[in-house]
Amino acid sequence: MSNFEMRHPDDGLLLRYLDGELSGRKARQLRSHLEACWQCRCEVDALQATVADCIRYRKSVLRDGLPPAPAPWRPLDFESVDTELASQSVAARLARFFSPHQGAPLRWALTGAAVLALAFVAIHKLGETPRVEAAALLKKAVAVSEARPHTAKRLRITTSRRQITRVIYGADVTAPGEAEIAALFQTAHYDWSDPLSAQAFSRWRDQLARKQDRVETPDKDSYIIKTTTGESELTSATLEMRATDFEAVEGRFEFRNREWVEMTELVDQQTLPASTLAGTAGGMSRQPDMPPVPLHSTPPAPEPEEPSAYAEQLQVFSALHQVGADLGDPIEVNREGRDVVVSGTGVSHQHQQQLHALLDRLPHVVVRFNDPSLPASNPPAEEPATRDAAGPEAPKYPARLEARLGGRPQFERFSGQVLDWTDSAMSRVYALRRLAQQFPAEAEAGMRPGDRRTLHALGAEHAAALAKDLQKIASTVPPVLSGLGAAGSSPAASSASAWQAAAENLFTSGRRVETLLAEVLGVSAGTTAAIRPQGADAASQLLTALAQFTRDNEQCLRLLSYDDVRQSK
Amino acid sequence: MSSFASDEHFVDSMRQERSGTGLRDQVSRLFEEARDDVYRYLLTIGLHPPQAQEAAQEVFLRLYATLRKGEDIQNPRAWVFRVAHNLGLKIRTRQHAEEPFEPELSARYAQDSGTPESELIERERMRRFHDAVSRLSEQQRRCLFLRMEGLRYPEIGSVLGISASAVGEFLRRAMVRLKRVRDE
Repeated sequence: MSNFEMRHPDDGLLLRYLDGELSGRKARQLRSHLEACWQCRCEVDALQATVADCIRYRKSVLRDGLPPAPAPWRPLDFESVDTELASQSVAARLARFFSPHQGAPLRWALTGAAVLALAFVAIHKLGETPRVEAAALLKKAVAVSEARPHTAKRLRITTSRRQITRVIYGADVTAPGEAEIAALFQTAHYDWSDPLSAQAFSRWRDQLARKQDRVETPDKDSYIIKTTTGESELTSATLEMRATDFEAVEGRFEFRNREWVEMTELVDQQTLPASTLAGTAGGMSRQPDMPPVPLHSTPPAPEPEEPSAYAEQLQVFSALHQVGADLGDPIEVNREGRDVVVSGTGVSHQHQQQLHALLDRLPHVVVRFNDPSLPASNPPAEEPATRDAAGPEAPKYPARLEARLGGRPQFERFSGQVLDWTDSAMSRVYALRRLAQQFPAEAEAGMRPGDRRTLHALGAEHAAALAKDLQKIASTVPPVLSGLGAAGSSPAASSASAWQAAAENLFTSGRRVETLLAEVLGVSAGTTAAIRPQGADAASQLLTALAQFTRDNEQCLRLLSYDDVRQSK
Repeated sequence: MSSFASDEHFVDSMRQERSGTGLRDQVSRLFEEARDDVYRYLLTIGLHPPQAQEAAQEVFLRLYATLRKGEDIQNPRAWVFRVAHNLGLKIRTRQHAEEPFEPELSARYAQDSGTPESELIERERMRRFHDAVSRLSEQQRRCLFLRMEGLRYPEIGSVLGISASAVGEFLRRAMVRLKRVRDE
């Protein structure tokens, strides 16, 4: 990712450069390339000319060509808003709204609109959209989950002091330190029996008269609901649910006493999670509207398949790897009957051509790419947000880091460098996780030895590249953060016994590093960062998370190479 | 378009004057400055002029309500566009039976005559540019329009619910297509 000064940057990179959306280091590299390269300077001029066209278009077509506002603009009626805000609960507001004695406060809205439209405006005027959305989502999730029998699931629970694994609906064993965490939740009136569930979240949320909700869809696979309140000991709770079955997969809880707890559902083959389903494993196609499947009827492993079926999938992944399209390209690989379908929206032209060249000749492999034209209500499939530009916020860490490093340029160099490494590391994490999901342990057991070796080699290559990035990060970040007084604690040992499970853990710890890093460096990390408040000591958390990330990767690499050796014998 | 430089100052003064008339003045100022941009953006996503005007008004009242509730809004202009976008789509969905608003811009351009040649050439070019814009995918067009309004990639991403890198990719495609208009 650092050698583009050797090649000519494409229009996308040039545009991001012109728009100031490149990190400091990339921008500097590009600038020096432009100084040297006449050809690219002409490309820049052509782009700038198109930008100028856009501006002329905005002025002469959009501004002058669109019909002007049909009526004179009325001054904003602030009074009505203030009056509305004065009342407390939603119920009170709505009741008042629908009361026949409705008076002045809403006069501005009462201009011949239908009742339905009024309700719409009223709800929105109160800024309730996220609340309604959150309530509706939770309701649906609770309904789906109640229709599903409870089976044992394992949670990885992390706090600032420890990490434990807890089995829900399983053997009644209490992990050391669990009582303390349980007490924390009980004082907040948050049900501890199954804390990572829509039910528990929803029951807690329903008790709150004053709360703020936020609903995010970071990608098409999940919803994130965040509720914050000043009323409970638990001041902020975030629940991530899978979009396919509304199963809660991740949660973060922040308490008034500055404690925080994170939970992730552990997925490995020792205990099947309550939420194993088509779409997350085995390359079966995703079915968003699929009714919940009762667990006991879910087969414990993907359908037994011909070993050769995996060979084709594996060939696809090897081809993706060969052209570098497994590091962030929005490409999906699904099985449709006998065929392996490779599809994608927004894949670069070059990758499309390369993949067609490699895959078209394979039997049972279908390649389909299309240009994105999705309705905005349905966000396109994209990799999770990356940090492309400095965010609007300027929290305190960057300033402290700047002082520590000796100035703004030094800080920019540092942050650009670290973010580049993290970007590169995360692209490996996503690639690994994807392999793990596509070839789960049960499926791997049915593969031919040669294919297994190929699979392990693919995985090990990602893990080794990740190890290199991690080493760079680990030798750069901790010394600087320690200088700010941050201290990490030692990471938890990984319990994964298959590389697939280790890859999942790796994904969790990587995401955490990404989020904390964004916070510490003061850059926006898209939607994920937006729901993370500034922690009391994000720098210390980051140190711990980095150590965990490294350890999880070591475990993953170990499992990948161990199996490899064993199988080659 | 002119408000970016003053955003930071805007936020600061909003914090200082969380309540009372100061906040109202600030919101009113932003309203006067950006209401036409918001109104036009709503037209481009298919609202009819009266709805778009009503919705634009509504958006700024929500901005005021949100600030009154004590929330920090880092970039009010981006916030306003995000809320306008979501509100606009909701209104559109509710009225799915109705045809979306589609202004006849190209027709308007063909009408005029008797103008100097240079102007005619420019019009012809803008007509072709408009055709190219209409041929962009919906996401590309939305990214482009929001970029024209001065939003940064992460801000556009948060309006449309996509990542900043996806915004970069959509914009790249849009610009590549629009660049061809010059070469035609």
